[in-house]
Amino acid sequence: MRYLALPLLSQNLTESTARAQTLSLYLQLSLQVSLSQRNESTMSSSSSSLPSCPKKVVTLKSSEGETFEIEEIAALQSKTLENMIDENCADTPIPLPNIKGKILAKVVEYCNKHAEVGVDAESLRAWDAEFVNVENTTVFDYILAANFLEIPTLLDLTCQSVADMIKGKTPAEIEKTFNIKSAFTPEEEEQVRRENQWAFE
Amino acid sequence: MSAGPPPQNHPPPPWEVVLLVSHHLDPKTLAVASCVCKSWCASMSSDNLWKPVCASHFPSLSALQSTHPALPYRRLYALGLAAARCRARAPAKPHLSLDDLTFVVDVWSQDLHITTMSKPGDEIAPDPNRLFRFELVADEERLSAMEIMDHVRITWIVALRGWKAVFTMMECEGKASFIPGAEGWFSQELPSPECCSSATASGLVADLKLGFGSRNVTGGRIKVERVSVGILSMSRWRYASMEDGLRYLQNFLA
Repeated sequence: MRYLALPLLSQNLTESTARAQTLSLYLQLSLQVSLSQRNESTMSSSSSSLPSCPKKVVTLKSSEGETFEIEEIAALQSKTLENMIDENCADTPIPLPNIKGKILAKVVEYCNKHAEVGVDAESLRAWDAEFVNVENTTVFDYILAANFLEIPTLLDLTCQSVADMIKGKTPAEIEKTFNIKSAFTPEEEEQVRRENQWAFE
Repeated sequence: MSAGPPPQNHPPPPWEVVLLVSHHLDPKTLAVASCVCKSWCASMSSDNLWKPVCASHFPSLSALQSTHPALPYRRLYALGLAAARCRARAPAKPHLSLDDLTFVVDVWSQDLHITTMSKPGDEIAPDPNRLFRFELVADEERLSAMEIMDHVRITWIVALRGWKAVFTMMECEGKASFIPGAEGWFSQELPSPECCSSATASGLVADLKLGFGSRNVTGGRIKVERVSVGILSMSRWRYASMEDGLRYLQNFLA
């Protein structure tokens, strides 16, 4: 469950204890004030569960300068973005210079899909499988993006799909799958083989 | 994932991707993938990866690392796996079979030859429970009657087909107390196979029972009608299995 940081109080607080205290204060306030009073409060933005309030959106900027909007709820799946939102740096577009637009668009799509409510597990799994059914280089970019943005579910999904491509293959087959040139000298190769012989039996 | 090999111009995965993916690989795949190229080898050999694997599979070996810090965790894992395989390994099946053997049993009393039997393995009925124990029935013509409470000498020899080798299972003397229908029971410890020093006991015993005929011969004499032979395990107080018995004999005959 996420909360909205009260800008005046939490501006300079960055520790999790401070956040917890702010959360507690917020909850107490929300219980005591009426709906109309809250609307008149100094809080300029709100992402509470009240349907009448507009949803907060975070803007992300790709390496080429393209911008993408993502709802805060969806953005919270990324620990990096969550930290930025907490520290109130999310009001301006967040630059992500190492993520290309094409990839960022898909990552946003992933987060949006996984933030949806009422999706059954089976169809989500199928959607995920389709999501990674792309060229290797694209999956690698997804992995790097998921790592940078600290999205654990996306990182697990993408890494697992690459892991599944490695499992059960011989080294020669792996080299072929991923276009790798083995840089071992014959002696080195023999030594590595010998050390790992148990895995080939 | 897309099927088929990638086009030749697609670059290999960046090292950060290899590092991240390596956390999702099982130990066997990690070891195989280490053989792909130098950078993969470096990423997949790291102690960070192998330490939790080793700790969960072989926690006692992980403790070795504290006394021998130069041993990488992936090496400890390989050692643990080899040790576990050795312990779990079943003994090799014997290449001797009952058909390769001939059992010869001789029973003497004073200077009288009470009975002698030579039974080739293919004429001996195997034990229904696959134990190394057999019942040998004497040929009627070769039987002599013996006195009650006679002192007897027993010899039991196992010979390899074609008389290529022999092994004396038992050579002993004793009293065969008898009542018609009863049995005389003899046993003798078997030697250790050559691979162990002679000071250690083999834990095996050659076991032989004389089965007397229930028909009384005139003059209080009795005939040996059948002989039961077997190899008994002292540690388990049971007859050895057929395979164990054959494996034991292999040491002396093959």
